[in-house]
Amino acid sequence: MARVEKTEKASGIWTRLRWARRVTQSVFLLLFLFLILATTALTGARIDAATSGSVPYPVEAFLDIDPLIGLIVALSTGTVPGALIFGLVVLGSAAFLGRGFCGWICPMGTMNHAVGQIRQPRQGKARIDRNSPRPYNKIKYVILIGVLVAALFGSAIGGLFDPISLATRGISLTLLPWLNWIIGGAIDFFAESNVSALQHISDVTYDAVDGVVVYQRGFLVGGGALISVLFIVVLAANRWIPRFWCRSLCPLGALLGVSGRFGALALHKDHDLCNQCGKCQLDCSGAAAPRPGDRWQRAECDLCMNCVTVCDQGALSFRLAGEKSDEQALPDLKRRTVIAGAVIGAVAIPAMRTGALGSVEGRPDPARIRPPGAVDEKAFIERCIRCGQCMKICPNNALHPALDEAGIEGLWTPVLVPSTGYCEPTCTLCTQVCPTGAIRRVTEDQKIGKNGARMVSIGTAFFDRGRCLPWAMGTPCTVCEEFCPTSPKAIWMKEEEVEVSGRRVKLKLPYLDPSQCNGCGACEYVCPVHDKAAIRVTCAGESRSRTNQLLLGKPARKKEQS
Amino acid sequence: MNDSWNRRRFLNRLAAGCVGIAGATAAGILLRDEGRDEPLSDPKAVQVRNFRAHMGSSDEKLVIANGDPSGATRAAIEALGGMEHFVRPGESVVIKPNIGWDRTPVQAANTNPLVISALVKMCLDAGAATVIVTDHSCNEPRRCFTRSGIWKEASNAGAVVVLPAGHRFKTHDLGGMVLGKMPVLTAAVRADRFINVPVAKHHGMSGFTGAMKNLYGVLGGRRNRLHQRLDDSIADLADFIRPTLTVMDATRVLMRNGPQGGNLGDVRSVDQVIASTDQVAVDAYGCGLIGLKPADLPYLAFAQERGLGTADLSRIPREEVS
Repeated sequence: MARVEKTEKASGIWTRLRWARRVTQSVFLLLFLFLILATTALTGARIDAATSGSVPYPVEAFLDIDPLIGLIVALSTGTVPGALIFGLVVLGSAAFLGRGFCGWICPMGTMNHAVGQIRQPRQGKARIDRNSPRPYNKIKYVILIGVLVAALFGSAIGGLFDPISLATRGISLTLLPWLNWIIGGAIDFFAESNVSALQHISDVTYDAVDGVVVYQRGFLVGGGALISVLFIVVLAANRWIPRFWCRSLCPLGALLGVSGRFGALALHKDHDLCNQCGKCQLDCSGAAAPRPGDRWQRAECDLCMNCVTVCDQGALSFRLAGEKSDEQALPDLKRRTVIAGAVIGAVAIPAMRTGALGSVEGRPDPARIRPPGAVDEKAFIERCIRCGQCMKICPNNALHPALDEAGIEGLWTPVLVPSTGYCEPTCTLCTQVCPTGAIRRVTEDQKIGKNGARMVSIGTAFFDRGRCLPWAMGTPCTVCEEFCPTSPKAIWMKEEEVEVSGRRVKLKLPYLDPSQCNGCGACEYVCPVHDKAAIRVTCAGESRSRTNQLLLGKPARKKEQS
Repeated sequence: MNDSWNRRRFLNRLAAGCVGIAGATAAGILLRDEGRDEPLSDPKAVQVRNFRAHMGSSDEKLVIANGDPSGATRAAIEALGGMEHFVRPGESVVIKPNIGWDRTPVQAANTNPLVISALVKMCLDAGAATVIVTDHSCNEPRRCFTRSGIWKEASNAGAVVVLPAGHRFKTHDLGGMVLGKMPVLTAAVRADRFINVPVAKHHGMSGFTGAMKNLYGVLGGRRNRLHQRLDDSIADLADFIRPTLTVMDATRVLMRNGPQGGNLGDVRSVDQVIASTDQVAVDAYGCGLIGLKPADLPYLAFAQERGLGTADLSRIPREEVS
């Protein structure tokens, strides 16, 4: 009798802990979503002109505390940039709590967890089967090793597989553009209706979501469909195997799992009390084999507290000192598995760099226009984790995930696409949100080059005189000059006499001074030759590069100074 | 399962079939494409928006007020007879500044926010029901509205600041020489009174941009083609919109590198606000501030030919106040 009371009391603790886990997961997921929505400029009726260029919240916080990102950048650059130190703190905490981060905090984990709850099989057998260890769950260790070896070779391409980066990219670059399309479309539809009540709803809705969900400059994402499909596949996989991503593929999960090798917390199994009912396996979120008689997989357990909560017998409990004999502390990795991962990482990076165009080693692709403040391409690839924050915050929808502009290795790194949007002259938002220092912080004064300092240039504009209205067609036009933001303007007009269909007319013709051009792309964006502009920007002359220069008098000294 | 037909089943199917056919017919009638020209979104769209209608006639004059932005604005309006002369109680007023560029007030590419807030307060004091401040920016609108300082100052003064969202434009027939059917910012043309509040500055193509060129800001769509016949299109616009009042901010004037500027070296402190009911005269005076003559601006002559005002400063009385 006394024993039963004790059991009930104990299970009460686990129930409370499970609720604590659920609340924590929800809070962190909501915080994550809030920070993504807050990844926008500070604007509005209450904002002073002077503070409008700043970002109100530490919107990159989740990326900062991600230990995998910290480790990748540490390995690729030999330094730990600023906020990423928090990631190494989280890594230290994993020594006590193992994959507790996955079960309690990770927003990607929580989303997978939530989708995995939808329409679970009623049958206990099928549910136990879904939540049992699988041999392919070891793939994540291969990915982890590959990612870290790639980092040693100077590539942060591992960011493609990092769960926080995946979630940020997935929501910022697919979910939000969808919402922009759907809600923006609904607003337009109601506004067109000629019913004043509906028009009023349109107006009120618009003012509530403008700049957060609906963007005046649109929200298109180059190659966004590919990002969408992969993100949906990751989420949909939970339908068949809950937390498939977390269990089988996630390199951060693998890192935290092996870091918990000597973890203080362990699942204690009391074989005498266990009646082998199997309930503990029904909802094991990590497929970590909690049933007494099986060996508990320490590196898979994300401390979800489901097994200890449902155990009627009180046979399971988390304690500080576990029975080491009943657990598997490290995953059972064959040597060939480890070698396979290392070889993949070691072969992939040099292979991708043999590409002639766009790769780090080759000539730059003309369309590889990086955001202002981006470090030199080699250092950029060492740091960019493809999280998409810079693309989300760009107020002009100018930054897009690269497909082939930066070589295969540069997949989904940011490039500026002037035909979609241009770099706002005084905006420095993207430089404020980059978590890894791939885009260095640049102030407005530094960007426009105040007090004799050299401005930040991301490229150079070139006229296509065969398409230009004044040059090719004798038609007056000056829109590129009007929008040119530099002072003095890089685009200047000269009145000349030209012949049009046998008549001689006086006309202002546009010219470009490359030493004044910052490559912002405003000219290309506003050119009335709508399909393929008569002035186009390429990355030539970008101030971050020492080699990609046009003019002798325009050398890049940035690197030597730092 | 009973698959056999009975009366009930037959009648149900018959009714369903009739409903389906009727629905398809109705949809067909409603959605029929007659292959005609797209009708105007707003069939009642007035071609000329004359915001001076129902106003007592007054002698036209050009007022030049010297002083700080707020004080000079008030002095200029007082010299014209006070805001009560232009705005009647219960009317809605739209104030159209230049909020074109992502620039701060000191750079003088947008209208000074203090000029706007002074006008908003005067309109409200005169009994205006609502005062709307709006413009179609060139750079990203949220940044332009914030960094120009106008969003904050105008809101604090009691105005409704309307962002130029896509759904707020409707196609109008401007009926001009160059400007035909164009999307027009609805908020700007639906009000009872329209006060145009440009900033005087240099412009690479037209030479000078002030009152008439500022009306570009009510247009949407692909404005970038209008530059092919800039002077005609400016005159067309001035023909389409006849503002109640034009108040030009010349407190700080961008002398070069317009219309965006960016370099404080290009800006000169003039400390003037110019006001008149004649928008052509305002421009004729304003271009002198950057060293041009009215004859340098073809659109002034075009506007005068159409009877929109006078480009000859000797033909309009001038009053200097401070």
